[in-house]
Amino acid sequence: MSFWQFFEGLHTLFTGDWDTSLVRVLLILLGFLLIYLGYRQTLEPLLMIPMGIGIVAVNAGVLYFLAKDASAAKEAGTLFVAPLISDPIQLMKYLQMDFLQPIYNFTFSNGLIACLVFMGIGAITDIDYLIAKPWMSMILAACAELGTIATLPIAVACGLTVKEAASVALVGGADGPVVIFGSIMMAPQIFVPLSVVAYVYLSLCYAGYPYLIKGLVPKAKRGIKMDLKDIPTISSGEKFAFAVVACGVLSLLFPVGAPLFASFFVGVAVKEARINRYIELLSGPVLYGATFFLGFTLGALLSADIIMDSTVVKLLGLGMLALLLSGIGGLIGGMIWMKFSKKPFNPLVGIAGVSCVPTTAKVAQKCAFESNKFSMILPYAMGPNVAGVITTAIIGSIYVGTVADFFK
Amino acid sequence: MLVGRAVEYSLIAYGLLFGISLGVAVMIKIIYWVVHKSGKTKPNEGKEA
Repeated sequence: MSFWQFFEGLHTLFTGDWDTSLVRVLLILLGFLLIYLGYRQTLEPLLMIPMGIGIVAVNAGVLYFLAKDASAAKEAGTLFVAPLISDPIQLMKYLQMDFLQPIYNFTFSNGLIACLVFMGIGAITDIDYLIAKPWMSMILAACAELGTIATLPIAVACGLTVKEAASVALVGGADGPVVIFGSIMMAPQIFVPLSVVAYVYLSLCYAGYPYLIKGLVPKAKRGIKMDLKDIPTISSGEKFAFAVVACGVLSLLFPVGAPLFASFFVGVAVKEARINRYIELLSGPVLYGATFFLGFTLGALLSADIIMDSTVVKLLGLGMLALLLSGIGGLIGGMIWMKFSKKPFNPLVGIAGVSCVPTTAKVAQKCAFESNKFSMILPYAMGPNVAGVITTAIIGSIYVGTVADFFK
Repeated sequence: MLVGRAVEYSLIAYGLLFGISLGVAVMIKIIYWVVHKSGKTKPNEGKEA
């Protein structure tokens, strides 16, 4: 036994093939980068810091287990999570050995983690502006699903299977839980890299969308002032009734998406019924607990063997394309609405239909403010922003429920 | 061939999405009308279950 064998991780770093070793080193560096960008608040720290630490630790902490049969090759693995295990006996072994395996199997594999995040989002979401301006909100949110729609055939043309294409297209909805839910249901083989790509890109929306806005919308139109007195006051009763009815109707239309609809609207209903204990539970421990384990487990899932797949490169390009097209779709919708609106309407409200709550609404307000410091559009932008959560869940449900049958 | 079917599927899905979005907007308007017409619904005053 040599001295270096006391430090097994270091000793085994270059014992496998060189490609794997190189990817492991690159992923460790990526983890450090995400942690740094999270710490500097360039990317969302709530997700990026646990995710980055997960990536660093899982790629540094690779073990080579001794095989029972001396002639057999040593088996590489970690003590974090083994996502590709499906054999029940093997699974029982890993549940007792890998510390994140129970989290993965009992909250990721069945979509629970996405539903928990949705409950929390529902409990902190203010649907006043959606109820106050339903036509504008829902139509602009539908326009901002352009990337979710257009990316599907492009992904098929790039060689992805239809289910993989539908999963990556959902990135255009800019709603992390829906991407997780959709990919687990349709293409679990790409769920890990796709979820990481989605969350990294969603964090980049705040930095990237202002350039898109400045490139497509003239400065004079970006600074249009909107009349805030035009927004009516909405009672709790209306919001509560909407949450209950919308949950029932959408679940009836799309049973496959019922867990997402139920999770989101139960959060809204609890908020509007002012059940303070539940509001505190859902908006605090449930939302932040789920977000923490989501980021940390996704990071721990991003090991070299998962990322070394040619599909991942396609996912990187298609995910970005989907978000770009959705942003363009939202802005086109905003321009059209402005054209036909009788009152002054700022077209930047359209990009808020990309449902990255509340990031895109804040981006729209920031860009409007840069062009005209008296332009306040945030209340209007929150309408399509919240509506975007609903439209993304709808399109996710359509894909999950029908994509396989349509292409039979 | 497959790409053509994918385009067709996407267009159908987008049409469906627009239709349902408009349906949700109509639903909101109906709820608004019912709640205001009945005049019975008042904001919950913060009672807990």
